[in-house]
Amino acid sequence: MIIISDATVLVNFALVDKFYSLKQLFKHIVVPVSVYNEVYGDGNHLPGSKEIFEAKREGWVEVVRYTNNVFYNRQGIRHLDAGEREAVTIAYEKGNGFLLTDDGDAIRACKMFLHLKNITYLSTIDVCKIMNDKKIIRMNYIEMSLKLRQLNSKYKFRYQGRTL
Amino acid sequence: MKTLVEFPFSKSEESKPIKIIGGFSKKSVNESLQVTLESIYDRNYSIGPKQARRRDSIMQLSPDIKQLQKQVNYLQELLDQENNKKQRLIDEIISARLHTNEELLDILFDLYEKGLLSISEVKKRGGINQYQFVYMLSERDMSFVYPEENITEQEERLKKARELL
Repeated sequence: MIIISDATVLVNFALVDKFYSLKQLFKHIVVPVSVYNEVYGDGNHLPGSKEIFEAKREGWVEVVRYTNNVFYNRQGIRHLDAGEREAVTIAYEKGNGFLLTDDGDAIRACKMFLHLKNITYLSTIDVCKIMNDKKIIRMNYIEMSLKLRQLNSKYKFRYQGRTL
Repeated sequence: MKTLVEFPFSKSEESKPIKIIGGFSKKSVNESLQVTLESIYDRNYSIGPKQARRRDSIMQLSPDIKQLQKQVNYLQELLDQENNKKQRLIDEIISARLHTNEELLDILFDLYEKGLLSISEVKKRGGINQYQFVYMLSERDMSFVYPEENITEQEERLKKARELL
């Protein structure tokens, strides 16, 4: 069974300082190259940079390249951002597992193209619920959501050359 | 005496007894070998009422499968067309709103909140990454938007995950 993730779930868990709880639940996560680059950023100031770098070094996060160009360029997923598109393509190639995503179009693509490949999607809410059940974290999604909403007082991000 | 069988069987002839068409001496070695191999293959395939019935049922199903595949392809084309239409409409909405001096990101997040755009589309059109997306979401006091799903579907997903993880 394989776990593939796009950047959405990884970044959410990194932002609430629960990145390593993903290791406890999933043991091994496959991420596409674009997703790794997006989470790693420039390697310094982002909340998930150090975590994903360490996770890759430790081996529980594996960076994988997609190979199926035909699927990657097909209509239903062509409009997705690179990370989500690669994640969906790798999930299609590998089959049998879970796709971690909060992206609406990736979820639709999962329902449309991946259910025959035995791929089920899990969102941040789902992962949070399962972690709560398994007592990996003591934080429900509402608490997590509130923490994510308070980010503007905790982190500073840059957009088009200016600090937000 | 070595016997040869007629090849190939038509569908209607499969349950008939094997028909002897001649002796080994009338054919060249290669031809004989070919026909013998084919006959062995075909005999194995047609022998036994169970296998024959199974093959019949597959043969009966195959036109349906082809028909269903055609229908699936047709529906896929329709979905693709609808998706293209949706993308064009969103482009039009965005360009119209940009003319009223609205900020691109404000428009994108508004469309995201209304469920018209996904995270990846906002990121792609806005040129932002996931961190910036979450930050801007929190700045606007918005939550993540998910496609509608019935409770049974969600429970099934969670049940599967709880069992396997």
